[in-house]
Amino acid sequence: MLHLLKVTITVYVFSMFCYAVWYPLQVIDLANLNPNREWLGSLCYLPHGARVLMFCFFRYQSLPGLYLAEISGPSLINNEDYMTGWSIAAFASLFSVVASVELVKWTRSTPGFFSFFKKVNFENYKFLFLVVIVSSLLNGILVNVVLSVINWTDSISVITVFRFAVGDLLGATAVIAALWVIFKTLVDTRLIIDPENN
Amino acid sequence: MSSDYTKSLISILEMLWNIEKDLNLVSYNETEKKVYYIIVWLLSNNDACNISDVINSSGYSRSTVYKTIKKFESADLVIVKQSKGDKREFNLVLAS
Repeated sequence: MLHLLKVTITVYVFSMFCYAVWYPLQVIDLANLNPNREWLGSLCYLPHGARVLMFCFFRYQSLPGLYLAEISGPSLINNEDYMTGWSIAAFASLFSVVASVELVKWTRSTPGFFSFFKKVNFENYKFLFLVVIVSSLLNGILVNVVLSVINWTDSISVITVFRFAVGDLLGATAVIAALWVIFKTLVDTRLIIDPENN
Repeated sequence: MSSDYTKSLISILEMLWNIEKDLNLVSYNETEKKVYYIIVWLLSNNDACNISDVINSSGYSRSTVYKTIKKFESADLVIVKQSKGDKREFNLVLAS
């Protein structure tokens, strides 16, 4: 129970931090990628990085914290920028990450030995990037399908699906790259002792 | 014994460490980086630095320090100049 509480708090704080960094960048729109300020989907969605990282390392215990962040992040930052039904679409976002991790696990397991409880070693970051790619594609499709069903829209914009997928991919990569830079700085300044020289 | 929570956090650091190892953008190892920091630190504090100072401050062997300085010299990071006072001593200057 204490473990779940610790994980939930960590996941929630990290995800909200990603929302807090991402939103001002989205508003400033430095590269002018959305000149008409339409609802299209961000091209660098940092919270997807939080979803993937937290689920890969904290597994199923991270889901309550992630869902809390999914529903409170948009409400606290700017609720009007999100479409109606986002709280339900958040399930699709989380499902895309869960499905991607299970898919990666399934491709690596011996036939007949697949288990939801087995762990993948994400210390090998190549699997993490595989999850980022698969989950970005899945998320782009699933979230837009769910939103179109909730909002009674007949068609899904291909551009929006594409922006979602690219945004999630770039956002997650940006989060991992930022963590790597922070980690490297900490090692260089001896605030973290590198594992091979201690 | 570390908890599951700590293990998960350590796994994240291990993952970042693996990225660092594989990318290896800086081709110098920890020893070489330390020698370079010591040279910079001695130069900023004493305005002068010779090889003996680096050996004393770093605690590394003479051969390690010599080898490292040779590497820096060939990479144009450091210039080795013979001391005017003591011809046996070599001063180190950062290449600009």
